[in-house]
Amino acid sequence: MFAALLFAFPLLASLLALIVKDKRKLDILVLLHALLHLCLGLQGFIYRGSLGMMDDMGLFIFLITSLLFMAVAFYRIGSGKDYSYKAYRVQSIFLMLFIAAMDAACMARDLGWIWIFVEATTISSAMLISSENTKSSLEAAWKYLFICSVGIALAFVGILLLVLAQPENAVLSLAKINAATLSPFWLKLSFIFILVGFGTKIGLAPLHFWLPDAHSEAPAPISALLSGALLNTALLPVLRVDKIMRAAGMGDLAQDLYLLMGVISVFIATVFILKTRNYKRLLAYSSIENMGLIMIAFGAGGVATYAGFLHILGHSLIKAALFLTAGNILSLYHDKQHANISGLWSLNKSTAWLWMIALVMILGFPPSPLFVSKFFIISGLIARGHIAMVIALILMLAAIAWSMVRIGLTMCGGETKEPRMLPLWTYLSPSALLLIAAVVGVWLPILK
Amino acid sequence: MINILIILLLPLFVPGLISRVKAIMVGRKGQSLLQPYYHFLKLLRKDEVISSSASFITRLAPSLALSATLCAALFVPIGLSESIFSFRGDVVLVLYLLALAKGIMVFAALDSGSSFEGMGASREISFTAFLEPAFILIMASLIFSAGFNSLNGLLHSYSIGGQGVWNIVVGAFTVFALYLMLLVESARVPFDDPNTHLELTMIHEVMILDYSGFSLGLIHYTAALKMLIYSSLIVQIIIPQTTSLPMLWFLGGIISTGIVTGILESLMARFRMNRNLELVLVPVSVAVLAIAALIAKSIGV
Amino acid sequence: MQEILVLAFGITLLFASVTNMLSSIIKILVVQGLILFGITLLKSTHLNWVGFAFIALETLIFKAIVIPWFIDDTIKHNQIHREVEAYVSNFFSLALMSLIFLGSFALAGFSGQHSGKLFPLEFGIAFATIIKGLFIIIANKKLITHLMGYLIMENGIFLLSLAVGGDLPHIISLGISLDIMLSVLIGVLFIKRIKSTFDDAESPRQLRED
Repeated sequence: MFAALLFAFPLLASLLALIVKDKRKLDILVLLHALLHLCLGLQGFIYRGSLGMMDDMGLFIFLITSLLFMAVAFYRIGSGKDYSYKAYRVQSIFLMLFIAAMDAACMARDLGWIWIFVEATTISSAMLISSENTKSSLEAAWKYLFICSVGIALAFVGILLLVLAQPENAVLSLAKINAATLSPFWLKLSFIFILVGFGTKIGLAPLHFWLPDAHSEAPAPISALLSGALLNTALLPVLRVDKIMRAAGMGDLAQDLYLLMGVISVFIATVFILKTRNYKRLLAYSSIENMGLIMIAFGAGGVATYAGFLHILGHSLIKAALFLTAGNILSLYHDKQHANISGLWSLNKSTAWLWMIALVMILGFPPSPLFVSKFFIISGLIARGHIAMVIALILMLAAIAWSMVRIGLTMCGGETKEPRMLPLWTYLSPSALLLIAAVVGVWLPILK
Repeated sequence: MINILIILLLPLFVPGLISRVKAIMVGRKGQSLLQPYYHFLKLLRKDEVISSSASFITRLAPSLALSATLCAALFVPIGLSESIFSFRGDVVLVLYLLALAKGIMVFAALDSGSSFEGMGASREISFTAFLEPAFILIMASLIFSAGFNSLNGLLHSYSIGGQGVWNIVVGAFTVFALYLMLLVESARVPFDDPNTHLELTMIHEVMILDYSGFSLGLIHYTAALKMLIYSSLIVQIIIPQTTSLPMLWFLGGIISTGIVTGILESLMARFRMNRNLELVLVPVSVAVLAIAALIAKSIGV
Repeated sequence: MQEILVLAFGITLLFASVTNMLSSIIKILVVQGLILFGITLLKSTHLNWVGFAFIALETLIFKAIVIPWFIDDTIKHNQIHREVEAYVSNFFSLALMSLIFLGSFALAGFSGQHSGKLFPLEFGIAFATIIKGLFIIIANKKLITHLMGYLIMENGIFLLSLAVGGDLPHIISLGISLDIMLSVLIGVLFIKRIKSTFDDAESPRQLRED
């Protein structure tokens, strides 16, 4: 019943948004959607099973999306004046549709439907990325739409091969697939296609090119949702198919593939983080790095699997806060090159604080939950005997940490003219996200 | 006996036919169908000039090429349905006899020391590099569907009119690929132009610039014979198995191949030289597709 | 008959490798759409009018008429240069196409031993089509050619879903068609908008890692 509302509301609201003539009313519609989303998420969290088709994994991602959506909805109230009315309306409509598509992808338990909904997220978010209608945002949106469509097409090949792997009466519903009867050859091939296909959307190497462009060109609230919610939603199908792989006794192969893709992604992210000059791209590469770490966590298995979920949570919250703060910096300086930015500290103290704290937290210093998760990932890797990988990983993480802290400090330091203030909401949203992350980071280890 | 007569007499008829068709297509009356024969006889009566720097290869090449091509022709069912010689696997021998003829001509072109002829030789040999695998693959697809046999037996047990869809498919692919090979091998229009007078664009013609008189006559005859060999391969695949008049079918097939070629030459322009190589690859690709499809089919449910 | 259609599909791929004109690739898309329509018709033995409507909508209307028309319209409107302008020579792409065929059929042959319900001929051609589509995307610099490569790849996927032989629910295949339709629509829209913001709609190069 409530679940039906989850999809009916955004559809009706986006129709309503077509006739609304005021930015304030658009904000109200989005806020209502966010509120509904969060309520449903909490209901599902407190009364398990009350959301019908939602399983634990889906609920987890759903809750993260709820938190981010709430923060983004409030942030937009503060940053709405930066856009023309038309662009803002397009953004609001597709934002709600985007969220609905992600919810559907979380809920669906049939691979065919999951595929369709993930593709729907691509289409709706491509419109979001290009909503500013500048040269580079158009190109970024095109690249995003195109590479993700190709990736998702490969995933569909994987799904077809999974049909092929079943002896008879093939089904796509994940619960009904009988892993014991699958043909190993086709299952392996199918898994590789699914991993590469959805991996495109997760932002894993080798098909990660769209991610830095899309994340750096999209408006700040959209970047936050792309990085914090969309990447997780794309990860979900991989994890669901992973269960089948385990049941068919090929978990080892899957884990090796995760490790391989994860390490390559972290490596590529390191190289580009050291090289890039655009602070939003820096954050985007950091997303690639963290998604790589998450894959490594699932590859390491054992206790690191839980660390993987914790990392998903921590990364989403902190990265969303970072992108929102980056939006603040952008509206203060109107420049995306971090070499041109200095004196953030004297210009706007709150933004500078947020920026530095979030940067330090994404690197995994306590009380960030990423500290705990990285610790368990490393120990999981050591337990599996991948010592060389651990050393390489630590070196790469150190390089990333050095680079990001250096960039953060040069941006904050220095003198500028008069201090300038921004709307209150644009500080509150990221700080709320960081606070939740810190609470999780402190509370979870105590719980252990 | 009839076969030998056809092999000896028919070849020069085809080039004459083609130029006649071309002439009619552009509204001229055209030369006599027997013109190539007169030309051939005239050349045979003439003296020849041989470069003082040429070695024995230049002298040897035309006659060796002719004899190799003639030997190859003996294994091909030209004329009546039976070839003169045949044994299991003679396909490979035919292929290499043709390659020998081509190889010695390439050597002769290099022997002259002229840079133009060297260029022509390099082009000719780069075409051959792709046509030989095409020929092998085509024969392999025939062998796959009809069983290992002599060339004669293969063409007999196989014809487009046979039973089953796959016969038609493989037959159509084979005819297509063989026809492209015919155009390339006998230097016809989309790939090469026998009438061109610019050395830079010549392929086959530039290789024989140094020849004259008797040798030139032999070379013309060899080229015509090679064309006849390819057209009879095509015709033998198209001819229905159960026919009471194989001879009539054969002659009709050869004549229509000539007419088709003539029409094609009048309608098409030459390809740009740098696109030639990719089009020479087409027969290989078609043959690959044909044999791969056949094998997949045989594995299939 | 089905097999001949599938082979004709393979021939269109060879043709795609030797052609240099955008308009011939559009024709290839049309022909492929028609062939897919034919194969689907022949494959579905029990066909009520709803099923027929689905098939006709997916293949005939979308693949063979609407999408090629969109692309043709885009090319004309944006005055995109009519040649393909690939990074690699046709010779190379044709040679690679042969290798792709060999590889795909090897996989198809291997597959015969692992799954009883496969049609190896269709599987081989379908797989080759998917790889060819990817290759077109990689080896070209124009946006519109990327879109065409994507469509060829989607045709391959459609053929693969026929080859797999399992009965995918119609609604899913329709959903997929709608997806493709939408992405192409949006893609065309983008190309038009890119044209109006850039001077050159063929291959914008704004975003580069410096």
